[in-house]
Amino acid sequence: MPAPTTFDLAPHLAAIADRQPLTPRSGLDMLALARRYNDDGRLGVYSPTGEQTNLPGIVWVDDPEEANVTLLIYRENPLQIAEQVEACFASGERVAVVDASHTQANRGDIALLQALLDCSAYTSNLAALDTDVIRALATVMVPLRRGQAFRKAMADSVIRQWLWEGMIRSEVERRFGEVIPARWMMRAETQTRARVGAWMHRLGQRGLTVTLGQLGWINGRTDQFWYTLR
Amino acid sequence: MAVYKHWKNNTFEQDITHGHTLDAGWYLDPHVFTLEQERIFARTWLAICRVDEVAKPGDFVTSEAAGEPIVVSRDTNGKLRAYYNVCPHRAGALARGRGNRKTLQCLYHGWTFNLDGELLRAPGMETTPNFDMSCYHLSEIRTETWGPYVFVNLDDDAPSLAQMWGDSLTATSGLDFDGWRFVERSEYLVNANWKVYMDNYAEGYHVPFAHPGINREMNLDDYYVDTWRFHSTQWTPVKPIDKGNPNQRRYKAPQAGDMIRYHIAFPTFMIDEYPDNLSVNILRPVGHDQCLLTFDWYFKPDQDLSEMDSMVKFADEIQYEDIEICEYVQRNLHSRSYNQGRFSARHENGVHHYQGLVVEFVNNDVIPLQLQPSAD
Repeated sequence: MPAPTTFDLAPHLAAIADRQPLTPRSGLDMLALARRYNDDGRLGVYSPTGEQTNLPGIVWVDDPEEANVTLLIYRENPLQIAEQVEACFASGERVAVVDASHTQANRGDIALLQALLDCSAYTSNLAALDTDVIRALATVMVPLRRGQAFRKAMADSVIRQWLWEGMIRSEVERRFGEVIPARWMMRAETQTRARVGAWMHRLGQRGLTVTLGQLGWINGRTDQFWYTLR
Repeated sequence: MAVYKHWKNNTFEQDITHGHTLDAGWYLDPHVFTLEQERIFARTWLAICRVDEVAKPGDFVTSEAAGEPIVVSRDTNGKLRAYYNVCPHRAGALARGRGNRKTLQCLYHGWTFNLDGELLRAPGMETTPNFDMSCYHLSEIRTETWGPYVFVNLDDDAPSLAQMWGDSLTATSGLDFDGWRFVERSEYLVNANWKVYMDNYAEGYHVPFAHPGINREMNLDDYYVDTWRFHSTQWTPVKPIDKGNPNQRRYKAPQAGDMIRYHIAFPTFMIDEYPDNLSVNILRPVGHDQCLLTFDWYFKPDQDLSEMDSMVKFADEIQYEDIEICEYVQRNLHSRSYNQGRFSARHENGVHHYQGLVVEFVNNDVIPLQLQPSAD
């Protein structure tokens, strides 16, 4: 199971739930926050491989018919995961996909994203796509009354973990190093925008109609990538 | 405040010494893009995928051509087929992504077609009177291959790919893909009209100013563009190392006869040929102000990974420099200070040739087009 990450889902969850008078409070973990938004409901999760971990609010079930969501954990066979997603959709199951292929937190395998694009599944119909189990389940647990908020949360996940960390960061570092000199900042931005844009164009055809707004790197550091979505 | 510029279909001067470039409206007016989709992209040969992506019976790839959803597959007899990816029932999609299937089944109501396009099953239609399954065949699209690529043409009356540019490009370039192996694919979204990118690709005039890396490898004085009816080739010898620091050079020991060549097959199929690598560059417009570039990298079979990495880095640099230029040009085309420019007769004959083809296609609704240039 990947280690919990420092990625902050709370603003996204707050945006989704902005009609409620709650303000995210510090100290609550993402899952607890999600449960609060979901009126302390429990989430029935089916894991075909039987991988389970003790998490508050999560009830592991043995039958997908009894589950709120099927959790697919990817480690090494992207085509198999894509086929499983197709099969789950065909049988009407909600599916959350977690990429656990990298030991490094928050890093997705681009081969999984490619396999998902190559299959017939409508990407935005996934209940969650993440590299962290807790974050994925928290996303699933949030009632998705605002589709656009969900799409933004998923696009955020894809851009940061698969596109940036999984591929484009190394391409940018190949040209500029781990600290982008100020004079090359615009070029690094052009590179990132062009590469992310191509993937988001394809993902847009699968319902993830979100594009990059502004982007940059704090102090030019490639480990401090930031962006806005629109 | 940018100025909105309407398209004006002015006469295009065939004589480069008097000619002006296309005016800005050609690049900015969304209506032009609609016209181009119909008159250019729906009537020319467009690369869709590599042959090896549909190598086995049942393999399929979905894509777009001229804004139309299409699916390319190899049928059970091994024949390449392309169809509109649109179910004749109620316009659902027959396939998404890629894979291998014995049939194409609509994702909407389950109508199922064999790979020959014949309707096999239409669930729920059994009791519908006057419903003849044989009337609902998939609409087939012409396919051809050239090198390692599958092309489609939506126009049944267009000349064959070989007639348009295939035979001529093969003969004039001597290109042989057999000596190369596909290694990887990269895609880029460019915020510029597709013609801005193509204009830029069609000349080497900008190299000394925009591409310091590749400029070290060539002399603009030795840079030439040969144009044929529907394709062109830019070529230049790799500069010998007679002075300067060879460590600053990509090609540290160029051989006599080493060439850099860039080929364009109209409208948007490009090949970059370097002594030690080849890349195929396929452009697809996705709107009047945006285009998607697909780069396929090819290397010699005996090259190792570290060499490839350095080559990709070198070529990537050029690619991003071009993207930056194109995006600036796209923004500047809106300026009230600019409408059109003049060609350099020495250096921009490739752009002039390319823009002439664009105008010819957009203005010509009679097909097939002449295969030879008109006498005037």
